[in-house]
Amino acid sequence: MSHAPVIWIDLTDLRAWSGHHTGIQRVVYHLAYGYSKREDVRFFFYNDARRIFVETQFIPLTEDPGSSAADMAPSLKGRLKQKAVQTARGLAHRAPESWRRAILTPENKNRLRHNYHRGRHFLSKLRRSTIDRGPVGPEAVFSAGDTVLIMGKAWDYPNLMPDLGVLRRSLHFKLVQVIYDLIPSLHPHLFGPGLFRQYTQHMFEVAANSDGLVAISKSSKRDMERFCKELRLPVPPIGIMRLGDDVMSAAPHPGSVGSLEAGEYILCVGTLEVRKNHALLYSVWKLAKLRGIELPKLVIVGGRGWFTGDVIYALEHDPDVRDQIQIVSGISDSQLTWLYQNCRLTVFPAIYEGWGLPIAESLAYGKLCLPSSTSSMTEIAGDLLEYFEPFDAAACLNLIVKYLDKPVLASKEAEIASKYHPTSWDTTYEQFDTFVRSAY
Amino acid sequence: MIKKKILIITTYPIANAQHGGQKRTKAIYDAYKANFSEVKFMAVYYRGFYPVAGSLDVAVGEASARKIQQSPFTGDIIVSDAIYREPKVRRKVSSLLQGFRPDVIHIEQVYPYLGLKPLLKELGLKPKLIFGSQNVEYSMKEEMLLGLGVDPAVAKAAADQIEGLEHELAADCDLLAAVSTSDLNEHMKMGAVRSVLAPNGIELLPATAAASTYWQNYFEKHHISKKVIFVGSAHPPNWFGFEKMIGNRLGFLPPDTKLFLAGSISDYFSQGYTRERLEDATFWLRAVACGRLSDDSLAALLELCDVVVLPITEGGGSNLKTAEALLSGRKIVATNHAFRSYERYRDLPNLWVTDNPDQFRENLTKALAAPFIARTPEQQKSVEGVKWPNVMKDLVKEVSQL
Repeated sequence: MSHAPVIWIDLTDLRAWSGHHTGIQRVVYHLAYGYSKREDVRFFFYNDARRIFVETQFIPLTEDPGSSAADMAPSLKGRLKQKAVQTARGLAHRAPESWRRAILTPENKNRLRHNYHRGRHFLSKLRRSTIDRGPVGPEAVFSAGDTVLIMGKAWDYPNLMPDLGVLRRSLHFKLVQVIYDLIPSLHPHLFGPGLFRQYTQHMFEVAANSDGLVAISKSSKRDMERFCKELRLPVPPIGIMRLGDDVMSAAPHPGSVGSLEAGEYILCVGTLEVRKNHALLYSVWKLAKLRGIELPKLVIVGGRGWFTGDVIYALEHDPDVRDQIQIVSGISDSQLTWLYQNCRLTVFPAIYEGWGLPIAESLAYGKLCLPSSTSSMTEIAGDLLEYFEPFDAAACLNLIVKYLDKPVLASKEAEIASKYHPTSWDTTYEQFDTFVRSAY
Repeated sequence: MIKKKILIITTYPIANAQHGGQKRTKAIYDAYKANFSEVKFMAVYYRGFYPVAGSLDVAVGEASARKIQQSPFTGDIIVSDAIYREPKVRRKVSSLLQGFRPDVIHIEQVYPYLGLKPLLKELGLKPKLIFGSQNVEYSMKEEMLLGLGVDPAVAKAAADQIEGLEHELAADCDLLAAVSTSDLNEHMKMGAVRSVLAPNGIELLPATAAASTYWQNYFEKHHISKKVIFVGSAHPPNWFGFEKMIGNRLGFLPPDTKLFLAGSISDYFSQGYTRERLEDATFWLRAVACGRLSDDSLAALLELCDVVVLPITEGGGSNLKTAEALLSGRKIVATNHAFRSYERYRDLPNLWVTDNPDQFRENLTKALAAPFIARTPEQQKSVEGVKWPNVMKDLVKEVSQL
């Protein structure tokens, strides 16, 4: 009896994720949602503890996975986290100054942050492992002629690719995967220790075992080609899809966020980590002070990531800028929507990106973004935007100053409104599926 | 049995023979033992390199050991010098020479002659001398030292000293026994008069069922369909050749393929490929460090592998690994250098030879995919010629006539 080809969609990421969808989960969700309407599609997840692929169901959410009215109030988890941070800070402030200096060195803070992230990662693995050791559903039975699509963070599961590779060689199905970026491999200094090896090994097997790859930018495609060339891997066919950025579904927060006034701040969205290059923004605001240029307040939205202790300390304690820069974290999507809608403009000085969603989001909200000029960031809006090199504070300052002029900014916003067309997730799905159909 | 007293002297023991030089010397010893009435073997050696030794072997003392630790790649010169200069070593060597009074001394590799020549003169002994050549040592040593980043002046001084010694022994010896025609010609030019070609050979024991089962289980457990093997000691030319012809970027090998590194060469890779580099992070996805395998385990791995690689680009002499590969009957991907003195086997099936690194890697992927072609009975018989007793026949004949 002949077997009708099946498209198998990997939902491992969504299954393991308990909270609000961030970038990659959002991509997985929207692509899976696109496929869920078809008859020839089935879903599976990888059970890490048992090293098997298990068939599952896709359950569409009733609202956008990246926005929720429930986000208006912080979740219990969020409240607990905030309380823990407040308590820790309170204790730190009550401790004698000499203790604080001795214990809370920037190096120790980085170490604590690093261990916190490792601990979180461990707990997440433990949670997954506990789930995976429980009862399982039927195994996913891949067959010749089928296509398996991996769209999530498969590098979190070191056995997934080798196991899938073994099955692919014996069962002869096709394997297509999404490539977000090669940054942990090609720019390891931008991440914490440990990720380089795991990520590089994963991407090596991805290239070696896939029939096709879909990159989220031309830059990521180029990086994948470079990676393959450097390791003498055959380069599989690589397509490109543009990520959706129709972010307007989140209702804006009623009233302002904190004490911010509409139109009186510049916004920068992205986790505080080395790669996002907040150090440049510190230099820009310092340089403005030196040159006697008055800049609006800078609002940085993002959680605290790895190896940024020194920069955060400077941002929070330098008398020249501490009242000019505000770090905001743990906010809801509706608050973020308010921040985007009411900012003067946004700035995105990242050193390297796979795509650069905050640039696209800013434009989708009709707001000018000033991004740095590397990697994928120039692909999002091309000549519509002006760019600066991520290590050139003076160039960044000059661009900000240029667009503080209200008529100049208004003219640019009008151009954005007429020329920038946000990409729908339906379009992303169409581009992805077109490649899947044509890759081999 | 021919009545003759023969002493073989080297700078390494042959008890627990691991590297090519040891195996060759052991084969010479076995061939002499089988044909001559009295045969003794003595090594003057450094215990740090060779923890296992025979009863007549003499380890150098602390002073020489310290020199070797400072300059490990000229260790053969240092131990040879100790034969005459280090009192304890000199006493033991003298005692053996005077007690045994050999008719023939076979000096395997030129180095021991450095201390032996003045000692023989001092003792008034005039045995027949055989110069057992495994390489043209001076050029190989200079190349190796330069490759290791040694000061060129130091490398040149060492090479000059060895070249002088090779000239002396070539001129003084009664018989030159060389592993390859080109080495033989080179040493003849240095003054040797009588010579014999004694190529390297091999003894390949059949694998036991237990060893084969171990490897089959290993392959199954790790989902390995295709197996490539590289056998080598941690002798610098081995890793130079590997890095040049294969390299540490192994993405060209299919995902179901593993490259097994057998012998102490795998220690070099295990210790070396650990940095934060793409190739270091991925090398072990396709390579397996086997370390030093027992003869049985190695025989089983050779029997079960698909391709033997011989990425040899430098070093003189002929190569034991080549003989081993030929006798294993596996597909072979090699350089021309690896086939020095085995040129007569170049037309065998399942053999790919090139000196171009890109072509070498391409040959490896071709060999993995190519169907295996059986040898004809004539081809198989000719390959049997690489076994040690066969390759030693001419040497034994020449020595018997000394």
